[in-house]
Amino acid sequence: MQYKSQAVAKPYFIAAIALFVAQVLFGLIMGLQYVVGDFLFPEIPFNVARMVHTNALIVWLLMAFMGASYYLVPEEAETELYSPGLATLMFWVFLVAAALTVAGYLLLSYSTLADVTMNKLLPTMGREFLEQPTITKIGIVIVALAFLFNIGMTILRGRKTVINLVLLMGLTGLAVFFLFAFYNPDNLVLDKYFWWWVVHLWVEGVWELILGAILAFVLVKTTGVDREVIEKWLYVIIAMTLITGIIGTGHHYYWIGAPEYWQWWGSIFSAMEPIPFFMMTVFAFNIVNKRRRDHPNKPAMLWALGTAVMAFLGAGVWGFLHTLSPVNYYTHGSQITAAHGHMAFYGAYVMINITIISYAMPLLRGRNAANPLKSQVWEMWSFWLMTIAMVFITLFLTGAGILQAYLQRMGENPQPFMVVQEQISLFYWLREIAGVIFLIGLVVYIASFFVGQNDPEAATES
Amino acid sequence: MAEPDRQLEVVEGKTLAVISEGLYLLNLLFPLLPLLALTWLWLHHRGSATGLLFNHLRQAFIGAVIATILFTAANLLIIILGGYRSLHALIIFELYYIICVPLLLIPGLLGLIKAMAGQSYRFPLIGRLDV
Repeated sequence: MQYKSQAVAKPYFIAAIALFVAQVLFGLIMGLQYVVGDFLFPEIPFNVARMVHTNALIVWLLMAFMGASYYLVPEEAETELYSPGLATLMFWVFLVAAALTVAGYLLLSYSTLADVTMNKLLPTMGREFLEQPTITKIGIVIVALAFLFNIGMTILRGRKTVINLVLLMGLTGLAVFFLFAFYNPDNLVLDKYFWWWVVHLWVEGVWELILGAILAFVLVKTTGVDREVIEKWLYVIIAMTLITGIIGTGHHYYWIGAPEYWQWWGSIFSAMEPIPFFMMTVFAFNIVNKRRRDHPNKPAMLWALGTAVMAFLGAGVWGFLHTLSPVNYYTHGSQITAAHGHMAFYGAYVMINITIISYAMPLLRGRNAANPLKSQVWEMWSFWLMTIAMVFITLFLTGAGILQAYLQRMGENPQPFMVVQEQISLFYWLREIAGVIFLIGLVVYIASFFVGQNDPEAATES
Repeated sequence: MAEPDRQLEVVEGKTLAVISEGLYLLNLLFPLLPLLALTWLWLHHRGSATGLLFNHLRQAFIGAVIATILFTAANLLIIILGGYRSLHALIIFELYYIICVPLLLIPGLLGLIKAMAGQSYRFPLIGRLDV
């Protein structure tokens, strides 16, 4: 660790992993509720499990992005963090807000939660992924502003590199687009139209910039390839991300009441959205091929390459699968969407966060470069367990989605939703089994932080 | 002057190897035209290409032919089973896309990366076929 203030990243990473565990557990509960409808009812109804599953994902990814930024920005800017105290304070504010929100979801009915948190004063609740009480959303804005101030001031007084500027651009976009969560018009079309400005422009826009910057940072550090080479790639990748991602928002406008021209704009531009992910894959492998040293932290390299491949498959290939409007007419909101969502989030954002955690944690824990060999072997096992499990989750959900579209929306006698759900239950069972394997992988990942800690560090780089 | 010529040949070979793998990948998305370009490249350089270029051009050409056959077969199946507006069209499209495309895409991606690094590469299974 080159700068003392980078240490503030550690609690962010630990809390992120804890929330990741919660997310997966609630995912498993919900997965079981698909086939055993009254499992844990009324204690944890399906809608609550779903809310915790998706909200925990968003919060832990944000927390890990913040941890990643607090770690990499001082190193890139070659100066201490502007205010480590503010970063630590914001960590606790964010954690307590997240914990209270989850407790609210689990202990109160959603309408009571809305009353208790005075949603009526500024109604923002009740929308998918943005279910958080208004007061939590205000807390997120405060944390995001303080975070941006801290990171921005650090960059301003230090070295400006392409990596930290792209990261800052992504983080600023993240904060700005979240403000649309407060716009909640009565007109449902308008509501959905701007709701996507948070959801789509985050994951298929500014988050990709954050992903690109973190990936580039880890590759600079682990491969020793010239920064200039990596930066040129980064420029092209972010340009393609923004060119395709912004108008690609149109693929969400097909059926919400927006003008018909979005069928064309959305189809064409979102069909190009795999391009930046494709370039990211070529970029990562190319840089690793050109490496000037063999870094002893093997799992970090594995996660970095895994991110590039899985993001391309999940976000790019599985996205294209249902993005053209004539196809989407049948597949919209089916399990094909869930398949894409799972692999894309895992491949792009879960894996990039684990990549930076994998790279930074040994250093944050006082090692020179890497964990002991035994710990690395456990971590690489966790990579394969989680990644293969996610591939199978995606395949089973895709199978379920194809059958669902076929039975429910095509043919002379389309069947009702719940009748079809019964018929695709085999896929749900298989998905649940794959989910359990994923959980085992996650347990192995956490165990990798504790095994072999008294062993000597893996051989230093050559 | 022999050394600069040799260097130029190596650079040209690498560029064409990258273009070949790129055309193979493009053929997965927009079949036929990239295959025609690859066929022309293959016929034009088959006799003279050596080393890196021969390796990648041959692999990409074989791969593109197989990918196009699979794509054509999927379309024929759709037409036989009732046309593009039939129940089967979506199922065949989705199955083709989740089974064939990733299986053909990943070797192509690795081939492109190897070509850019100036290294040879053989597609799994289909790479041993002779043309």
